[in-house]
Amino acid sequence: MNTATPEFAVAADDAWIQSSCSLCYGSCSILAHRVDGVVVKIEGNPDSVVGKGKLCGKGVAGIMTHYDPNRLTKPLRRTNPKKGLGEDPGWKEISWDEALGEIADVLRKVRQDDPRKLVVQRTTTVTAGRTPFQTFAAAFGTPNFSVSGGGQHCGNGAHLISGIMHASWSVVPDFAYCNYAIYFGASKGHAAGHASCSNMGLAADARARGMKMVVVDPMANFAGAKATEWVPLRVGTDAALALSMAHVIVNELDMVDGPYLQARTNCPYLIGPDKRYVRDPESKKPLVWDTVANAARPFSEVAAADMALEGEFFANGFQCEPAFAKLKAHLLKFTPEWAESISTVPAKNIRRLAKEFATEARIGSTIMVDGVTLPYRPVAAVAFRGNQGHMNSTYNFFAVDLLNQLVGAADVVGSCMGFNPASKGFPETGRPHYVPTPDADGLMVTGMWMGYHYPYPPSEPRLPKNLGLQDLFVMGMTSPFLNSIDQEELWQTFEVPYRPEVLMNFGSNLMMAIGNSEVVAKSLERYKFIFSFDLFLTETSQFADIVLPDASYLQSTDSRSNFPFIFSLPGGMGEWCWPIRQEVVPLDGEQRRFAEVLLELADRVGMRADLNAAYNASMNLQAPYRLEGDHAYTYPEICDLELKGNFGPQRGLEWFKEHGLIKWKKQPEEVYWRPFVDVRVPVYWEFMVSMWEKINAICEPRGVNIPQEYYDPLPDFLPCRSHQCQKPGFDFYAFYYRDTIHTNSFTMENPWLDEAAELDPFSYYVAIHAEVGKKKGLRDGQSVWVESESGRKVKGRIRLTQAVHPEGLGIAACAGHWGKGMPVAKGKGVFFNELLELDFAHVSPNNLNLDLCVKVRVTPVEA
Amino acid sequence: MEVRWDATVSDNSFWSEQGLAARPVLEAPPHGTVEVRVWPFGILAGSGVQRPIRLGLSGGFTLRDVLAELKTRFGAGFLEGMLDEQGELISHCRVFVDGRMIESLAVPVPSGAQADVEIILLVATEGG
Repeated sequence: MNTATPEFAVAADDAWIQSSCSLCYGSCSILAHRVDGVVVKIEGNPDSVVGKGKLCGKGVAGIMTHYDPNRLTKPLRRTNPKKGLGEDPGWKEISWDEALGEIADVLRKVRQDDPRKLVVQRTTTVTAGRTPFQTFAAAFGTPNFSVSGGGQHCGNGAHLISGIMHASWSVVPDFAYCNYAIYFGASKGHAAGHASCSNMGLAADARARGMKMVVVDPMANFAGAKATEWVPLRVGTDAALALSMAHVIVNELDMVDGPYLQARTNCPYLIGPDKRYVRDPESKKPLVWDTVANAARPFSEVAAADMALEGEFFANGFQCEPAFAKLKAHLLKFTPEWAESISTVPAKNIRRLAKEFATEARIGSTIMVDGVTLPYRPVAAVAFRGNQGHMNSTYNFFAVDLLNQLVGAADVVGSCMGFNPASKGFPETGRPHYVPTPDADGLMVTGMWMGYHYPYPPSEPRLPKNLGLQDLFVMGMTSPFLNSIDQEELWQTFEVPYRPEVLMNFGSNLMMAIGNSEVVAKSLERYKFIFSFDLFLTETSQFADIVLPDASYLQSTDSRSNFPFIFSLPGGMGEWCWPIRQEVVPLDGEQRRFAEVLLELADRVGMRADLNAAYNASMNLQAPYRLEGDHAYTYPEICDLELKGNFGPQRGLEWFKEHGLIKWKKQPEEVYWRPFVDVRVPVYWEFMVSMWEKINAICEPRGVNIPQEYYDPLPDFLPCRSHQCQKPGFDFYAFYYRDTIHTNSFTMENPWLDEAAELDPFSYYVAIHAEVGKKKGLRDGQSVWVESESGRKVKGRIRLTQAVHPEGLGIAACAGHWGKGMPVAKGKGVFFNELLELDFAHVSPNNLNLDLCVKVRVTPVEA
Repeated sequence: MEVRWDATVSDNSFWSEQGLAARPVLEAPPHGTVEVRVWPFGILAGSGVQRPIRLGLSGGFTLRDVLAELKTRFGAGFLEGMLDEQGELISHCRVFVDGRMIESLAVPVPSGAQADVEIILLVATEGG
């Protein structure tokens, strides 16, 4: 157990230490109160922009995770060579030298053989792991990097499209100015996640100011409960509703922001009969129709106001139309009556919502912010995990953002906006400096990203060399194929020339985080060697050969706890803020900090020069703050160099330890950057046409069908497998939602949070609509089996409620631990992911997001 | 009064190059031979080459010329993963010339008797 040590306890010790939380990836700024070497309280840091002095229940309860007596304190080695569900590893304590010696031997051999055989996997929860593990993977030479279930479940649609359309990892309303926000399967500002505590305060202030909030969701929980209006819909039909609203705005109301569409989207670009841009023969630039010259000309040579948005033209020998005309015609089929049949949202409500949204956009209005006149569009349509966790992942998200684009509500005052896509940098150094730029077609390329391959322009599809196949399915980010049941079949089909042999895992419990445990277990069994950095023995570390006892966030240093700013620094006006994470208490037992362990491993493997070079690249370290040669830097030294490089030689790690963070004022041209940067976003995704052709050219000869409708340039409603289920008795759409009390499967072990969840009416229950449940003879609190079509089932207790769609079945969080290593968590809640199939058929063939809804039947346990 | 979305901004210089903080400027290359030491890291170092690779290039030359010379010596496979179909650097390939990050292959390699070019592929994907 972690205990106070003499080092901290000898003198009168009473200090408040500025640091960063790590109970979720929000990484809010904290003050940790240490008395005589013991952390006695954790609060939000009011001096920081990140959280603004507020801290959620998870953050406050972090103290219990740190002092959990079940924390690992010594390296463990498995003695039972047999791996599998239910197998006892036979752990034996070993020394660090022994552990790292064996790991280094394995890594050295596999690197010499083929470095791609190493898979590096990290949890999304601990953001401090991102740079060190990405950097280690780059230095080692493996492209096989994964962020486990968090990435697979929440990100391939939401993050990619936020990047393409808003140059950021996620989108939120501009809370300070937004008057009308419509949420689709999102809880930004009402639960956990990106800039969670900051956003909760901003959203609350916005609601108090009078912002109307409409929440489209099968369940009224964290956002819905605070909404002005909850719009329950059938699970996974978000695109149908959003496209119908778009149809009403365009074809019934004619309330679009034409000047925005002309100037900042590809709506004027002429589209030929092959669905592609009609291009200038010489410059290859997309053509638009110049209404003054009455001729087709390259987009860059025509004033935006003169670009036609509608009409039929003849250019380059082709009959063509502007992309907007294509969109307008495309939307005609999405009538509110049709959408009602798909989503169950009444047609009259769809028309009303569309009219409210378009009216509240105040198209054509301006506002002055800090002396700068800017477009004012105080509406936002935002989406997140729930919206895009489906086969139709890409279009579900794209369709929602289309609403913003139609009325010009994109990264301007009051609108839907990304988290900080443009930064001019700290005034004294100009770092970090980034801003979106146009590509040759005038379309936006992000200035900053979390991975290093930007969301646009997409890569050229190729016969895959990555185990996740993302180099074939280039819209994919995190891939299910590292763990799917058909992974070997896919690798053979696509002639992947190697197989994974070693897994380096950082804190991820992928046995619970992705899909059903049977299939994930099989994927882990095939590794020759697994080593895992963990706080506790999880269901996943049971498959490891060696487990390394990690330090907690209260024992660690991280120079960039909220960087990149596009991830979890609050958007909107205010201040830039760069906090750090620092040690509040020392290590206990033989725990070690993962970042330091990675450095030692690099030395033992003989790749320190590569690691130094990778840190220079990933942190953009410039002289004189670069890592040189194969010098053995410590991690605090690397942090020190990064901080000095960004904030000047006087502001290294010691300065930040004293001050905790640095802030500087945001300027309107940074926050509302769109009017100042000549980039367009693609309302018509022309790039999808050739992308499908190239992917299909690889897949079709190998017998893999890639439906073309997933690669149309304009969004559509494409049903999930659950929508097609006809099996009698399977009449609920099961889905899960992120419980605000918990972070994935990690915090289930925290006794305070467990207690809160036990008291919560929903956290550990299966939510079913009260009337429907009663008709089925189900009672509140009754134990039931929830069973999928394929026979996978989980047990849970019923919670009858009016706060869920009549066809929906909601399960909270990632619960239902069964391992002995987290005894507080064991047996609590319902393990929804056990119901999920993990194969190509249940994955979006566009962006590889898993289909996270399942048609189920519910039967009493006693029956 | 309705104002065109794109007519609200009259001063568009905020993000112009003049508005940027000072960025490293590489000097024009000299005439004569420069020894270019190329340091491939990560997966690029696994091509069996001895690090650094020493190239002798003369006259004014750019990073593109350096890569062309590498291709001549080691074959097209050496550059795999670094360049896109248009022959430009992919976004997760990072190149430093004498410690300064370079974003374009058109950048001239700086003057001096020697220049160091470091190349590494970063991790492309990320999620969550």
